[in-house]
Amino acid sequence: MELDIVNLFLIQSLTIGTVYLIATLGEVLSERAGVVNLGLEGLMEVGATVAIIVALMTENAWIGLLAAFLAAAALAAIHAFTTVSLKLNQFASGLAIYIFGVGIGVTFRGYARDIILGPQALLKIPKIKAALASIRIPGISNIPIIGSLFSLDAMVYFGIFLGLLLWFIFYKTRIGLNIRSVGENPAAADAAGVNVFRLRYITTIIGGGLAGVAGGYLIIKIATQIAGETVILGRGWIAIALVIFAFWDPLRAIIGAYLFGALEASFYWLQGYFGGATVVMLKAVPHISAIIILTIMSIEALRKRIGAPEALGKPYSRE
Amino acid sequence: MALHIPGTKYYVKVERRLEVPRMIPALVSIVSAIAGILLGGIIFLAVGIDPMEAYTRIGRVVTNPAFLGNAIEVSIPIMFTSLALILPFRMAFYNIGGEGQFEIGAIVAMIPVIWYWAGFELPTFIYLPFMALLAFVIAGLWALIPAFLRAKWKVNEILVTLMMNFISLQIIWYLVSPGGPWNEANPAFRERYLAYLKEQGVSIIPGFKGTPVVPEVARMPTIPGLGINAGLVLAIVIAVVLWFISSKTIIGYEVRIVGESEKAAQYAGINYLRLVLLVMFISGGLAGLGGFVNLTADLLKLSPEISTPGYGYTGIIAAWLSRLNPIAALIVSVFFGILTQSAYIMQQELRISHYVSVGFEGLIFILLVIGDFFVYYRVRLMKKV
Repeated sequence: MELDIVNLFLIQSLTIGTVYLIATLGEVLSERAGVVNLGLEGLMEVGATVAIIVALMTENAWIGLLAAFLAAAALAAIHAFTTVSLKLNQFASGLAIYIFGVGIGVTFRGYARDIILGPQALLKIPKIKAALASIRIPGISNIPIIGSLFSLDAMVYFGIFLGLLLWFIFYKTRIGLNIRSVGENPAAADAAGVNVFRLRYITTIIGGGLAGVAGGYLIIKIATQIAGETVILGRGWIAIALVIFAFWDPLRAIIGAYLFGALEASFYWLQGYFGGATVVMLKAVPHISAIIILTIMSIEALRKRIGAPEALGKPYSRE
Repeated sequence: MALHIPGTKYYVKVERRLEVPRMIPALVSIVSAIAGILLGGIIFLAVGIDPMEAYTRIGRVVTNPAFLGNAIEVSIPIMFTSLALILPFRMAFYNIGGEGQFEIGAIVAMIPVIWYWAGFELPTFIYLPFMALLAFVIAGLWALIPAFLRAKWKVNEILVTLMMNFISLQIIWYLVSPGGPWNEANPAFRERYLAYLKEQGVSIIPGFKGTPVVPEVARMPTIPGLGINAGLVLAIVIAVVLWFISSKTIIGYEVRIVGESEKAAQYAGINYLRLVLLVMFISGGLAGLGGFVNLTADLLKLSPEISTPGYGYTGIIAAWLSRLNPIAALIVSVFFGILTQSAYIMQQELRISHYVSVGFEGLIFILLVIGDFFVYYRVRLMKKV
C-alpha cells in the first residue's frame, strides 16, 4: 500500500527532526548546567563514523548507536576537563573539539570504508538500515496525517521520550533542580551541598554522547553515502541555535527540531518544482532561518529579561 | 591548591598567576604545535600507517624547495584568514565566519571576469585593483551583518557567522551549477570563451560546476625569482599595518579595552556599536582579500572546491596559536601551509583523507586550549618539608 504525499512528508520531517532533536536535547542538558559545548558538529561527525563502522562490523545498528554514544561522550569528556576542571575558555575548547571531531571523523570513515570494511561490508548497509526501518501498523498507518505518527522508526519515539524525560527530570526531580541551580548560581548550589563539578561533568558527557547518537542515526537512517566528505553539514550548529530557540526548554526543543526537520524535508519536494541551479539556494534556507530565529529570540530575551542560564559559559571555582 | 603525589615526598602546587610572563604564551603555543604533531602520530597508528611514514612526508615538504614553495603558496590564504581575525578576537568578538567572508571575496572578485567573458572589457591595469577593492568592500559589508546583530541585540556572533558560511557556499553552488548564471556553459560566454578554449585546445566539460577561467589580465603576478604569488607581499604589508593599528592607534587601544571588559569599555565612553562595525568591516574585508588572492593566483576558476581546504577554519587556529600577534600569524600560517601540503601528499601516497590535516589542526587547538592552563596558573613541583 502506498503512503500518500502528506504522510510521507510528515514522516520525513519527523525523521530528520529527530537528528536535530537528539543533538539539541544533549546541548540543552549540558547548557542547563552551565557548559556551552560548541563542539556538537564534531561530536556528531565522530558519532556518525563510529556508528557506521561498528554497525557494519557487528551487523547491528543498535550496537553502532551505543558505540557512537560512548565515543562522542569520551570526546565531550575532554571538553568537560578543560572547561570544568581547568576552567578554560568554553568557546575555544568547543571550537577545538569541533575541528578535531570533523577532521578525525571524516578521515577515519574514509579509511574504514577503504581498508577495514572493504566493499563487501557495504552490501550489509541495507541490513543495518532495516533495524531503523519504519514500524508500520497495518490499517492505521494508511490514515491521512494521523497515519504518519504510526509509521515511524524506534529512534523517533526515543527522541520524543527523551524530550519528555528531560523535562520531567528538570522540573520534577531533585537532580533536575540541582542541574538548573548549578547553571544559574553555582556558588549557591555549592553552598547547598551540590557537587557542582561532578554534575557539570555528568551533563557535559551525557549531552555530548547524545550528539554522537544523533550523528549515528543520521548516517544510518538518512545519509546516502558514508565516506568522502562530512555528513553532518552544519546540522550540529543548527542544533546549538535550536537550544536558544527553545529557551533551554526540552519541550520547546521538540517543536523547534521538528520545524527544522520539516524545512529540510520540504527540499526534496521543492526540487521537483524549481529547476536546476535555483534549488541549491534552497539549501541555505535552514541557515537563514536560524539567523532570523536567533535574532528574534535575542530581541525577545532583551525585552522580557529572560534568557540563558545565568552562569552559562562561566567556569566555577571555589575561591 | 596542592596535590600530593602518593608514595613520594613531593607535591604539586597550583596557584593563579598574578602576572603572566611575556614568554609563557608563546612557549605554550610552540609546545602545543610540536606536541600536536607528535600526538597526531596516534591518528596514523590507528589507521595502520607507520607515523614515521607520515613524518617523512612533512620532512620532505620542509626540505624540498619546490614543495616548500607550494606550502608557502598554500599558506598565503591562511595568512589572510588569520590576520583577519586578530582585531575581532582581541575585542573578544568571535568571528568564525572567515570561511564565508573569504568565499564572498572570491565571488565578487569574479564579477569583472564574468563581464570580460560576456564581452565587456575594462582597461588592463584596472582588473586586479578593482577586483581587490570589490572583494574587500563587499566581504566587509557581509561581515557587518553579524556585527550589527551582536551590537544591537546581543545575537550570538559565533552562531551567526558560522551559519553565514553555509549561505555563502550555497551562493557559489547556485552561481556555478549547470544552468546557473555563472556556469562556464552559459550561452552568454559562448562567443568569446569558446574561442579562447579552442585556442587552448580544451573544451567545456558538460555538467562542470564552475565558472569560466580567470583571464591572463586578471591573474595575480608572481614575485620574480621566487615563483610565489604576490599575495604574499600584500599579506606582509597587512600584517605590519595591523601591528601598527593594534599597538599605536586609538582603535587598537579601544579594541584592547573592550576585549578586557565590555562593561569597563562602556564606562570609558567607548562606542561599542561603532567599534565593532569598524573592526568587522576590516576583518571581513581582509578575509575577502584572501579569497580574491586565492582565486586569482591559485584556483583561477570559482567553484565549490574553494571551500575544500577550509582556509577560514584553519585561520581561526592560526590566529589563536599566534596569540593575536600579526607578525607571528604569518609564521604560524606557514606552519599550517606545510601541514596542509603534507596532508595532500599523504592523501596521494598513503591513501588517507586530506581531512587528516584538519584532525591535526583540531588536536593542536585542543592542546593549545589545555596549554592555556599554564598561562593562567603556575604549576610547581614542591618537596615536603
